Amino acid sequence: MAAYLRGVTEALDALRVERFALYGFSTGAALAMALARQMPQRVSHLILSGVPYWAPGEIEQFKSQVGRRELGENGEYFIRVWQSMAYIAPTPDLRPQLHMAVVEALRVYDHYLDGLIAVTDYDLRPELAAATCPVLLLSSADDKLRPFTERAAAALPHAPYTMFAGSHSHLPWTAPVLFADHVRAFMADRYHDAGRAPRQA
Amino acid sequence: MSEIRVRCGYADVEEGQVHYRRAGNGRQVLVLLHPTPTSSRIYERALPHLGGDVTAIAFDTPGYGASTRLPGPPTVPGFAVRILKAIDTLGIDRFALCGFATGSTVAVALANCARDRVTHLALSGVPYWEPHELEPFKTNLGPPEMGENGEHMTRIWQSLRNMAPTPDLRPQLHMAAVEALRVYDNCLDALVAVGNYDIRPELATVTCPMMFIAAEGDKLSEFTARAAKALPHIPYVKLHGIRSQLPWTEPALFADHLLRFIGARAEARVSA
Repeated sequence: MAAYLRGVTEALDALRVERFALYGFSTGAALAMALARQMPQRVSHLILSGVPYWAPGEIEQFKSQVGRRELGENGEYFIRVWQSMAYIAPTPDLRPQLHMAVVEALRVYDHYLDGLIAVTDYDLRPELAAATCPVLLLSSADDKLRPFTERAAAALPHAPYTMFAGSHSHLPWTAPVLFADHVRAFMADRYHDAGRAPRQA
Repeated sequence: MSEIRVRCGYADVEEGQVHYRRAGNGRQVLVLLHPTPTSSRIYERALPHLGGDVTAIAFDTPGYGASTRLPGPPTVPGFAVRILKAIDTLGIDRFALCGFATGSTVAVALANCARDRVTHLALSGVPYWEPHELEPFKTNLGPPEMGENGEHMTRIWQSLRNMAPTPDLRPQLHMAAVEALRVYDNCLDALVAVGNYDIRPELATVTCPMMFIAAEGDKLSEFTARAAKALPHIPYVKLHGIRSQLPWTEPALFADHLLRFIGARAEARVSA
């Protein structure tokens, strides 16, 4: 986790980005939470989806996805990776998204789950509790991390939480316009908080 | 050799970007163009061997790797013009050029549209085909539909498996299959462009020094040999016992031959 944080920080410095809003999804949410804790003076807004709000060891089952990395004789590992991610395409129209995700995993096949392992071993709950900037939580209806995002929402009663009814996992891909509208409104401090109950968009 | 870093970048051109991998800071520039359906990644291993002597830049053909597609149906001259614009964006004047398979056709088109700028042309896997041999490539059947269980992915793997006759070459096959899958919708487009480009008259009009280089295991080596026979004044290096995808399987040897051809290296450092 420390190495990932250092990498992102160095990239932001190289781009001379001083102050910024930060969005993170899943592993990205973990990184975003830790970054916001590390540089509170630079992060203006924190927006999170698929929040890995869990105790260390609680989600050990994710680690079981870390399978063999041999390149088989017939490319059958392509199918294995596809099947391990098939939940993001519950309907045929989402197959291009699944294809994209699988290809991105295969591009870095020898270490494609490293980010996940880094997150599962790191307790991010104190990081989120320490956030000093405004926080927004977003979830799609069928995101498999939604229960954890809702747990984070319960722990942060002042943070608005919006669940996009009927939406599919990976909001920036499946509902890009809606996603961008919410992020923009929040960054402009125009976000209308519906209170503690999950707002349905 | 390990101190030569490969860095990636994009050259902005009208209507998009051309992605490239680059190594070295030498005065002489060497541009590399890749086969279908891979990307500049095929040169990833060779670039550090080249970068010690020259500035070596491997571009992703438009529509492949991370380069923007061409508007409309892709053609070999269309690819060449877009690559030349990227070379202009990078502020490069004169350059040596190396193309492999589809990349060899684009390199020939580029050499002919920038005669005063291309100093050397090295070609491998040259599709020196008769019209009837071009015919099957002219129609784009498109890639198969994405199946429910990802079968289309293994189909791509299997269609490229000639690249890995032995298990130690599977990483190369993996790389090629993944690069094809990255641009799945249009992964066969460049073959259509090649099918509609008769390289034979174009090759005859190139004015700069040329070289043919072929690995014995390359399935296109027989056509490279045919080109060499048709143009007997052009040096032809056939590397016996060397497997397909020379820049990946024998990067040091590949670099050595190229650098000596373009005059950037005087003595052989690697023997075939």
